[in-house]
Amino acid sequence: MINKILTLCLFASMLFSCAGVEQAPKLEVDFPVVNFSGHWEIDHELTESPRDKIRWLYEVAKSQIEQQQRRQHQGGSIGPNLQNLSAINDLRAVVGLGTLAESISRANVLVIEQSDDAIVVKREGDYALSCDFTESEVRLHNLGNEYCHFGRNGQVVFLVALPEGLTVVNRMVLSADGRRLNVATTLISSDLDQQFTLNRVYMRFEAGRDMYDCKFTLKDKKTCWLGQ
Amino acid sequence: MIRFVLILSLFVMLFACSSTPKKTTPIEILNIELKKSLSEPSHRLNVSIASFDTKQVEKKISRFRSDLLFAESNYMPVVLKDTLLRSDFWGAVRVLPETDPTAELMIQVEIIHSDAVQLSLLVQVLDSRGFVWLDKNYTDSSLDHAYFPKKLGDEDPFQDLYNEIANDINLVRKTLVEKELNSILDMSMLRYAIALSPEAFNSFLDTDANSRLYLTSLPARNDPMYKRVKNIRESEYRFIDIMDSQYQKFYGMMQNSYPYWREYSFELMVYNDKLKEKGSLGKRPSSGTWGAMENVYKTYKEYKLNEDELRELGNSLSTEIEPTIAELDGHVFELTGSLASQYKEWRALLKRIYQSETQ
Repeated sequence: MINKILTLCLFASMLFSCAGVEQAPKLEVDFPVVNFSGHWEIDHELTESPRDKIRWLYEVAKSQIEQQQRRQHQGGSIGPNLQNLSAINDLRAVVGLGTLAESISRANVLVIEQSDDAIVVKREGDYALSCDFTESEVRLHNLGNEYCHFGRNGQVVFLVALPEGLTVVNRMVLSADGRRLNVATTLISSDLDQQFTLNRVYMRFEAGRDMYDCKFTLKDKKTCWLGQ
Repeated sequence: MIRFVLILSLFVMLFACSSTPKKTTPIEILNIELKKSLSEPSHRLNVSIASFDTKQVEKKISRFRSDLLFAESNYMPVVLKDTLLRSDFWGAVRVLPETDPTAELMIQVEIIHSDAVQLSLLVQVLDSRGFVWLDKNYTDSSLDHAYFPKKLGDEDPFQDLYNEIANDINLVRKTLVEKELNSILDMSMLRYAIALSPEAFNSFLDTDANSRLYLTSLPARNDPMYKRVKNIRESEYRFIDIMDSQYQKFYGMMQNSYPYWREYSFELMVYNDKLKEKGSLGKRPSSGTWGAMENVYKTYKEYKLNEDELRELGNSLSTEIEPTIAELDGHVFELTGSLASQYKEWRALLKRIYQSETQ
């Protein structure tokens, strides 16, 4: 599926003149209606375990391969065929993406600052996801092209396409009661049909209470203290 | 899902069209000219460098990059300052939050483009007489410098550019005769005096047909008002030295993240450039190994983490700078706010003191 999209897009891109950043198309901007602001900590109960998910997908794929092999065996076919090889490759891809997903989505605490026109998601031990809703939606630069969007369905999407054909999508959605936040991290490889999504669920907490808080100043750099 | 597919399609399309760094021809590595003998002119002009201007480039970038640019605009003047000091042709070289028309030699710079591969600066240098020494665009590529992790922070990857600026300024200085150098010193002091008390000192200065300033005469050496101006100016220099040390401190703190941020940016930009050369950027091919994907993600993550830190540093400089304690005539003053507002406050304070003492 992704391969088809990429082929179509590549063709489409040839039709456009590559004039650079200034001519990036302006897309319609949806303004935020959901406020994600606040402090969030991981809810282990609802968060998917990457290892369990990889194991589950592995078992499903393995079972499919075994079924195929049984059918071939019953039909008199002997030895490996192309379908089997493709399935094994898909299996490897899922495990690979899953392992990578596990290594890149580990933040246990999020601090989200949101205004009418921007959002910054500070992730413990990881870089901050940021989005300016007023600017052209696709932020093009030479490192990893970034896209972010606040959808009418209340989802915020952060997407980055990196060299080596790796695309990472972080999709944030708030529960109806506003007490849980789901961050779905999807990894897509440009030359594989498979993608891998890991859902991590966070719950609100009050900053400073039984916790620590931090402030950055030029004089002292990062200073943290225990709450009341 | 359809929306996601559409977004992804658009995204990949734009990826193919994104502008990778323009291939720039690396200029030859320039060495800075150093003072060679003690017989060089003894008139060492004091140089002021204003925090770099970012107005033009800010229009083209996101607000998040803009915070980072602010940090760069306060980092780069220190690199230029260090370069000028190394040449040993100048007196005090100070970084200021804004331009000062009374400076003996004022350097004002606008950042036209700044990334890990290319730096482009518009440099204007004026002396206190209003003579333009330089008004020139400088561009340098870091492709002729490798970003060696062990050497990070030791030498700026755009040191060529700073050397070229320093050498060009010095070329103009060499053409000046002693009389002109004296005139720059006198004019600087007189313009400062006029800023404090226009009614007392305006008559010593006039403009010619080309709107250039010239001295009609000079106040007497023992003129008490002029002596007072000199004392006030010394106080201002002491204050600027305190501010200058703030810039130096900020520069030191940026050394923990900025060189790394540039290195990671450079790595990714050059990587994409190579893909583009192969005509395969749109496809974003994979080398087929998960290790390669993981590595590229790690590089991107480090780049973003350093960017976050630099942004926080930049914000701190604009809002949370520590108060400056300055002494004047036995009185101690504490100034708060950003460096720019502290500088304005101090100058206003000096003016009030001068006026109250001369009334």
